[in-house]
Amino acid sequence: MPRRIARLEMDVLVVRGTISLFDDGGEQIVPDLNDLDQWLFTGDNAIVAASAGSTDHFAAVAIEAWDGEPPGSGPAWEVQADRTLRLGSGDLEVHPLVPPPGTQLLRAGPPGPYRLRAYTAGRAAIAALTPNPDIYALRGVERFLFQLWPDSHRSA
Amino acid sequence: MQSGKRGALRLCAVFAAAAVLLGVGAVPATATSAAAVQDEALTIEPFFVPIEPDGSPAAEPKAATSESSAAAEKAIVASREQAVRRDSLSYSDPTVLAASTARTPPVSPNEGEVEPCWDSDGGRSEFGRVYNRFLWCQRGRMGGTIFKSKGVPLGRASFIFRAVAYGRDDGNRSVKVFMRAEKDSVSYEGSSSDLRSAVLHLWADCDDWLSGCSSGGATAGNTFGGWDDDDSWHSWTVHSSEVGGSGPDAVRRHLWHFKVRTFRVGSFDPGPQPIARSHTIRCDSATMGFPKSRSKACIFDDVIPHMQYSVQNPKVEEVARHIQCAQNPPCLTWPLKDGKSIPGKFVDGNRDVPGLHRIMESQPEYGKNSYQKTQACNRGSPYLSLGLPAGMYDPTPPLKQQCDEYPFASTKEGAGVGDWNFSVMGVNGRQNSCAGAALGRYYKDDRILVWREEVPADALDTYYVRINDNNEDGGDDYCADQNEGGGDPNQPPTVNAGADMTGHEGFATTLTGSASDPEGPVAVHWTYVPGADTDQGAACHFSEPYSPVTDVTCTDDGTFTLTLTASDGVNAAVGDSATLTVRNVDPRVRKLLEGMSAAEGKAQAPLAEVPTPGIASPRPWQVYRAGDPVTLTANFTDPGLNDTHECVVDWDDGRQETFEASGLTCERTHTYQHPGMYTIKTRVDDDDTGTDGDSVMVIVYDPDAGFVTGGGFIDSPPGALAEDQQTTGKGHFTFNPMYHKADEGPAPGGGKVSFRVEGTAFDLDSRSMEWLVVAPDGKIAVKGKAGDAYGFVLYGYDEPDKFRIVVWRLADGPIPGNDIVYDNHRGAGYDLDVAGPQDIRGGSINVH
Repeated sequence: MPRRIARLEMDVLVVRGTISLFDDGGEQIVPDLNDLDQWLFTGDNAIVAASAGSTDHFAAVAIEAWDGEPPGSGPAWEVQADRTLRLGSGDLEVHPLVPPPGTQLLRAGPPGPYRLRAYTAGRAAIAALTPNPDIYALRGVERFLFQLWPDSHRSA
Repeated sequence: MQSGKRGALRLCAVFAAAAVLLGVGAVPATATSAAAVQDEALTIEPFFVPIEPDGSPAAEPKAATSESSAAAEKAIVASREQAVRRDSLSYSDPTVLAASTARTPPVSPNEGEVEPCWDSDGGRSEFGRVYNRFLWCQRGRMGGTIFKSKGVPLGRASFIFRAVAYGRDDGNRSVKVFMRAEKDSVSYEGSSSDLRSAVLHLWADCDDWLSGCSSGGATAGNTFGGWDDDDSWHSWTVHSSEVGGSGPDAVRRHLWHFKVRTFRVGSFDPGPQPIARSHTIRCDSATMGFPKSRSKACIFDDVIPHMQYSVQNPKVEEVARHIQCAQNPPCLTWPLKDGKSIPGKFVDGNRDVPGLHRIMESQPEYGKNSYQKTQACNRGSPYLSLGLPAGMYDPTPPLKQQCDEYPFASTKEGAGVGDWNFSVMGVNGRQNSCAGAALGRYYKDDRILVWREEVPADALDTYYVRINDNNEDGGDDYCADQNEGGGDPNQPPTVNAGADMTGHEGFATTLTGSASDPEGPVAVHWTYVPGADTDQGAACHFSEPYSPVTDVTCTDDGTFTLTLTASDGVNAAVGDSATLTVRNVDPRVRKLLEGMSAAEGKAQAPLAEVPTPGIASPRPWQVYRAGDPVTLTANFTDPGLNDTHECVVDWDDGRQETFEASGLTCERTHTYQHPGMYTIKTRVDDDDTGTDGDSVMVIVYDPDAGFVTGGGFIDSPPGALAEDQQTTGKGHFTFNPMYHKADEGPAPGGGKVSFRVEGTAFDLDSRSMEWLVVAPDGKIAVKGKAGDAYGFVLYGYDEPDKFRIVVWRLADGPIPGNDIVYDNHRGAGYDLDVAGPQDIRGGSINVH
C-alpha cells in the first residue's frame, strides 16, 4: 500500500502564466512550453505547470511525496496529467521563491528518476476571471496538486 | 598590523627555505663570494610582463614599486577602466559556461575550459580577465630584475605563468585562486648569472586585511630553475568575513593580488611585492532570492552583469523583439509617452547608464508592477487611450497571448514606478513563460542580489539586458524540447555490469559496474535472478544496490545473473548483466570459517548472527554415571544461509543416529548402560555435499562394576619420560582402586596408584582419585592426582595384561594436553578402547 511521505501546501504566485518546481541538485532543463494543448511539462530537475489565467494570480498548490504510485485523488480535480522526470537531489523548490522564514522545499526522496502525477482545477474559472490587474484578488481560484514517487520501472 | 605580522612570519620561512636551497654556510663554488655580492648591494625586484599569445613580451616590464607619481596613478586608473570595459565586452553568457547548479571550485582547474580565457587579450593583461562572475583568469610573465645599488639593471629572469580563480555560490564566502608555471618557459636576460640561484616565492594576498579579507594557502616557492621544471598547480583561498558587511546581504568587496618575493643570498631583500594589478571580488550572505544552499557566495565583480535574449531564438523571439523595441526609441511602445526613457539597456563598458534591480514576487513593488502592466495591456486606468491598442493583445484562445512588460515585473524599475517608462506587448504565452524561466535562472546563475529599500548604494546589484541578433543567448539550454512525444534529444545512459565473477556462498563478492550519461547524473540499480542450478530460496543481497560498485552476498551456491540497470529519468532504462558463479562452502562444526583462504572470497561476516561453532555439550572428559542421560549439543556455522543440514552422531557404543539439524545445532540425548570411555563423533552434512565433523570423549563410571588390582613392571620405553628421552628401565606399578559399597562416585573411595621408573627420580604415588572405569570387557581406567602438581590416567587390560600410564602437570590443565611428563605409549589415544597399553613384563593385572 503506497504511503504519502510528505505534503506541502502554499499559495504560489503564477508569474508569466506558470508556476515551477525546481531541483537545485543539477542542471534544470525547462522544457519547451510551446505545446498549447499541454499544461504540464517536465525536464531534468524541472516541473512547469501552465496556468489557465492570463494575468498573475495566486494559485493554491499542494505537493506530495509518495513511496509508490498514489491512489486516485477523486473528482475534486478536473484535469490529470502524468509525466516522468529525473531529480538531481530529490529536493524540490517551488518558484517563485518566497523570502525566509517561508519554507517551500519538499524532500521528494533520493536522487533519481521519478514519476509525476499532477492535477489542476479551477481553470475555467481563472480563465473567466482574468485579466485582473490585482494579483491578490483571485487567490485560490486555480488549484494544483503534484504527486511524486520514485520511478521503480525505470530503475529496476 | 595583521598584515605586517603575517609578513614577518613569511620572512622567517623564506630565509629558512633559502638557507636550504642555497646551502648557506658552505664555501661558495664560484669566484663570486657572498661577501663580494653583498658589497655590490644588489637588489632583486619582481615584475610582471603582459605577453602575446605565443608568450613573447607585449610591453616593457615595470617594477611594481616604481609607480608612485600622480601620472602613474592616473595611468593605472585609466588602465583599470580599460580593463573593465574589455572585461564587459568579453563577458560570456552564464548559460554557456556556468552550470545552474551551485558552483564549487574544482580541486584543480579544468584547463580546457579556461583556455579561451587565457587566450584572450584581457586574459594576458595586468588585470587578467573576468570571464564571467564565477571565473577570472590571467596569463603572463613574472620574474625578477637584479639591480645594482644605483638602480642600473643587470639582468632578469622570468617565467610564464597561468592563473585562474573560481567564485562560488555553494554557501561559502571565498574564492579559490590557482597558479602554475609553464614548463620550460624560464628565460634569462642580460647579466643574470646571479639570478639562476635566486628564489621566487608567490602567494595570493588581500590588499586590505582590515576589510574582512584574509587569504590562506602555502606559499609557492622555487628557484627559477625549479619553476622551469614545475608546472604543477598551486592554490590559495581568499576569504571574506561574514561579520559586518553592507546591507541585509552583508555585502563586502575586496581586492586581492599576487604577492611575490624574489631574493638570493647576499642581495638586498626589498620584501614581498605585489605584481600585476589587484582583482575585485564581491561576497554576500544573501537571505533573499536564493535557495538556502546558496545563501553565501563570492563572485568577480569586474564585469557588467547582463541577461541576454536573442531575436533569433524561436523560444523567446517575441519577447526579445519587444525588449529590443523598448530599449531602442523611436521604436513605438505602449503606453504612449513622449520622451519615454526605459532603463536596463546593456551598453558596452558603461556601468553608469540606468540599469535594473531585481525584486522578488513577494515584494509589494511586484504587485504594483503587475497591476500597472495589466492595466496598460487592457487600456485600463490610467492608460485608457494610451495603453496597448486592441488587437495587439489577445489572451483568449487560440492565441492565448500574455501581457509582456519591460522592464520586467521582477525589477524595481517595472511599470509600478508610475512614470510610464515601461512597455507592454501581447506576446506568445509560452514564449513569455520560457523567457521568464530564463530570467529566473539568470538571477541565480549571475548571482543577482535582491533589491530592498534598506540596501545601501554600495551593495546594489545593477544588471542590464542585452538583445542579440544572433542565437548566442544559450536559449536552448533553458527551454529544451519537451520530454513527451518522442522529441527528446536526451541520450540514454550507458551501463556495464562488469566481468563475470566467481564467489562463495555467504561471502561478499565485489562487483565493479559502471554507468554514465552524457547529460548528467544517472540512477543505477542492481537486481539478480537465481539460475536453474540454485536451490529454492537462494537469495542475494547487495550492500549498495544503488551504486555501480557494490558487494553482493548470496545465501546458496549456484549461478546467478546480476543486472545493473541505469536510468536517466528521461529515456527507457538500460541494463547489462554479468554472471556470478557461487561455490558451496562446507558447514563448520569445529571453528568458524576455518580453512577459508583469502583467495576463496572476500571474508566478511555472515549475513546473520550464528552461535559459536563447536560441541557445547558434553565437555571433553565429562563424567557421567552409567544410566544417566548424556545430552549432545553441537553448534555449527554455514555461510550458505539457504543450505539445509543433516546431523550424524556415532555414540561409540555401537549405536548411530541421523537426524535433521535444528537450525545450526545438532542436539540429542543418549544413555550409556555400561561404564567405559566413549568418543562421540558428530558430523554435519549440508545439502550441497559439504560436510564437517567433531568429536568429544566422555567418561561413564559405575560404582557397582567391580574393581581392579595390579602389581608388576613394564619395560619403560625410550621417550616415555619427557625429561630424559633416552631413559629406559623397569617401570614398577602397583594399584588397587575400588569403589566402596556406599560410594556413589565418581571418585572411588579406596585404593592407591604408584609407579616409578627404576634408575630415575620419577616416582609417582597417588594422592586422590577422580573416577574409576571398569568396563565389561576387562579394561579399566582410573584418573587421579599425584600430590598437588600432577595428574595421571592409568589404563589396564586384563588377559592379556597391559599397562599404560599418562602423567602431566596440572598446571597445564585438568586433562592431558600437549605437554606430557610421562607416557609409555605416546601418540596413542586416550579413549580406553584405543589407549594401546603396553604388555607387562612381570606381575599381573586383575579385574574383579
